[in-house]
Amino acid sequence: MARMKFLCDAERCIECNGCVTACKNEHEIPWGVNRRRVVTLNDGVPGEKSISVACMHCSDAPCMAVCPVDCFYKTSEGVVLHDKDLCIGCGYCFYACPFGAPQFPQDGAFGLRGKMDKCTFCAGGPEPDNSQAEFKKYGRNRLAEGKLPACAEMCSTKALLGGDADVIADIYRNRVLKRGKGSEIWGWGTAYGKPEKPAAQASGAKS
Amino acid sequence: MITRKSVSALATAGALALIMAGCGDKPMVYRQGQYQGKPDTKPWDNDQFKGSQVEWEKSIKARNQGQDEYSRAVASAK
Repeated sequence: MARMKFLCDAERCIECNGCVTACKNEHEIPWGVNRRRVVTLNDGVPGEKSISVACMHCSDAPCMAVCPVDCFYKTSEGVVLHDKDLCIGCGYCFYACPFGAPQFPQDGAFGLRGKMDKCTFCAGGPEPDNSQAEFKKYGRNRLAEGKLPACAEMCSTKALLGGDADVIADIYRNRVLKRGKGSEIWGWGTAYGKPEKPAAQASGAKS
Repeated sequence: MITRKSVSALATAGALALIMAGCGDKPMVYRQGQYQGKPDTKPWDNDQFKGSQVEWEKSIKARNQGQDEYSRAVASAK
């Protein structure tokens, strides 16, 4: 069974925002809601790096854990989705998400927060597949059409990979081996430190 | 014999019963940490794949590999 994930190759991302545009266009997302966005580190400095960020469909999703009405569910493909009919727009998921994925459209004249909206991995929601109700609430269901998310498939440099975690990890690994660099940019080493720089145990720090 | 009066009384009682039924509250069994929303279908349970998970996975696999231009370049060079 596929376990769907996104992976962004910072060596390849050219900050074209094609993924953002593809997402907006595919799902007809309203103004003020950005299911996907491109983040640039050291913007303007030579060697800047960009990554495309959206819901990462976490294996142990914090949004699911904090939701007071339990409107989140995980599909058998590992996609984190939610039921907008249950969502109360409280914003807890936004505070819990480390990627800022949950978005809240302005609802009403006084800036009221609407129901949460986020990347669905182009998998729609708990409405009948490819129905008008599903499109209106969650956007297009490409997964039910046997397709992968529009952002990843539209990426011109193939920096953004989306699909079965094992397969895209293999594609990325092969790429890094071929070009001889890039694994240090975004991944385990960046997040958890490099092996040549062990944690300061010599200073007498206790675990 | 059924009079018009009794018919209207019966209709009123029926309408009242219907209206009152709307006032009732369905007891909701809430289980903390469990999804409370509508059930979702599998992505292969539709007209296109006709419930065939194998066909769906084949389609997704082809799309997955389409993202690897190294393998695509090799395939097109052949």
